[in-house]
Amino acid sequence: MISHKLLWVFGANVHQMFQQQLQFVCGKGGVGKSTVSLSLANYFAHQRLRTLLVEVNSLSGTPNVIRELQKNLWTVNLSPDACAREYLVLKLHSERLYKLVFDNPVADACIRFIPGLDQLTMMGKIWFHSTEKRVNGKPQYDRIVIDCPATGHGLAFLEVAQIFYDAAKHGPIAHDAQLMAQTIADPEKSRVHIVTLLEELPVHETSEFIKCLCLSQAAMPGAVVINRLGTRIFNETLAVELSNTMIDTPSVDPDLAAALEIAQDQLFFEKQQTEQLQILRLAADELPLFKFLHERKADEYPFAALN
Amino acid sequence: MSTLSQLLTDKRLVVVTGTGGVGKTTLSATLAVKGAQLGKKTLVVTIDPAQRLKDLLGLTEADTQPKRVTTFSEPVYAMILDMGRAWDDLILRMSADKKQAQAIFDNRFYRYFTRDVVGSQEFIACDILYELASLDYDLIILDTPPAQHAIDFLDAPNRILSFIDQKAFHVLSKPPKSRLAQFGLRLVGRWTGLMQPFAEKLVGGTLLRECIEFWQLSQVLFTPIVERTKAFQQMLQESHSAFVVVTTPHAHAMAEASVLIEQLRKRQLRLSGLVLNNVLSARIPKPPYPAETALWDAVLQAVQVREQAVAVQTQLVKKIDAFGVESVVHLPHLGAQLSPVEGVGVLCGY
Repeated sequence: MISHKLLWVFGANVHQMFQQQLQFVCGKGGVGKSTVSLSLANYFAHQRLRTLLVEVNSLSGTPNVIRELQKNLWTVNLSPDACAREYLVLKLHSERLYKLVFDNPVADACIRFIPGLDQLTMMGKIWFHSTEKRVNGKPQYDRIVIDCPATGHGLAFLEVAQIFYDAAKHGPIAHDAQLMAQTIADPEKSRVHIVTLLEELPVHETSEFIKCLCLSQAAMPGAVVINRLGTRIFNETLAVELSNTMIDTPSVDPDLAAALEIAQDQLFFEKQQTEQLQILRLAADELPLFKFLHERKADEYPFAALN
Repeated sequence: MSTLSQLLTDKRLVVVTGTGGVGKTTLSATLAVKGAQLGKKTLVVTIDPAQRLKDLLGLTEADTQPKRVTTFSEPVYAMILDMGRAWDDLILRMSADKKQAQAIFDNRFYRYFTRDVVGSQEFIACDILYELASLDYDLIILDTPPAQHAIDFLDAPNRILSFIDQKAFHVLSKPPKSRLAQFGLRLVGRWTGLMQPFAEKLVGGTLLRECIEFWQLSQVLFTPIVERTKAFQQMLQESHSAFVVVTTPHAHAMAEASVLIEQLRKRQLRLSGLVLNNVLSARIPKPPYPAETALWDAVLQAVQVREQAVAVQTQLVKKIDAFGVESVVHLPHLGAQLSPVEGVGVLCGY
């Protein structure tokens, strides 16, 4: 059953992808990852699931302060420095001690001395939020949507806990890292969705990302979300017809010629999108592909078809 | 309306910025050809370009040194700045032998630092660019990576620099006399006492050792690079250097362009102009269609889609005045029948 809102490519059980508490949204810069993350978070909130949307180092809001956006939806912007400091305070068991030792340039150096520690502590903060419980014992958040950092290999953030556990092996950091890595890798607890565009570079990067993610086994991939997908007007028959018409019709009427030119342009654009979609399908293998829709109405979400 | 030539007047270094997908690389190639037409010995440096753009300039992955471009008759030089390989290339150059280099490549912190720490690749890119700027090109066009926040390329090296500059870094990376006895902290007595057991308890295993190894190595590497990176950043501030912001008439690209312009102004970096790329012709044809067939229905639909796009474009273009940029160049959307090389030829006329 294909819903007009859903581009269902493979018969994978798509509902499965959105049941986990941790929902990572990955993708390179400029693909619209933040919009998709917000939309997904909105969707969950609308399902009456207590949802936390986590942004990493965005330019908005005071870092590490949770604020309520609307009913069932909170958001927090994590800053790596703030998370690193919070973690160290936690480990030192005393804010006063921390200030005594760390509130100075040496602390900065120490934090940066261990590359990746700031990313690890951000993941730690996210993991911490996933373990928070309400007074009645239920989880504080049913869903945590993470708008992942778009930098570097993209995988670094997902792999950081495993890397630290491998390296440290003993000690509080290793212990915490192990817990984080286990949660992230657990297909019942977390999924990684990838946002892309049907353009050469994003599709190429998405293919690489999926490949590396599966190899590293750091986390289970979820859905591939295609953003800014254009409308498809010309099917194969019409495409051929159009080409023939271009050849047959002498450009007597300039308006007609202009219209045909626009049509040809649209066809070219569609061909490029189709080409990229094929490459993406190959790379995505059994992962379902979603088309993301920018819905304006409050009760319409691009994942509404999941119901 | 300004021309592309105006963007290049009196410039030796032009940095092309903008969010992903706005046509930066094509524009960089166009500006390079334009520069050559103006009689300048021009080099275009591109970062991680798509395949068809590598084809445009006749480049392959191996072309990490300037090479004369054969796809255009004008004398243009081009190269790929492979940020991913830049660090490894540097290590290979500076290592005594392959074994030493391999030991470094195997260090997990080296891998993490050069691949994933924000700023490290931009940092080494500055070093390479400084080198290039000292060669005898009249004009260098720098195509920046398609980041979401295109300003990352400017900010990124500073994170690395600010860390390296700190005295503490030098202290921390000195080789310890005993196993962890003086974990580099010869600062103030009480800090030493407090830090040591903390460090030991917190980061057990080989983690610390590898970490120290990495920083010891980097002290050797960083010092020469720091100077050159700073020098390049200085170069960006000079009067012969300028930035060009590229955008298309789409909401996300325009929003990013707006942020970018603001950031450039804040840093007092020269903005030589804004290029609005992929501008659709506003003329919407309304012909009488020959027949009511599926084909003509489709053509009509395509025209309607174009009409919508033009409406959006018109609204967005109005906002450009608010950016307060003196030179704005409009480049047309190129027809599908043009090859990339022909396309650049057309754009050079603007």
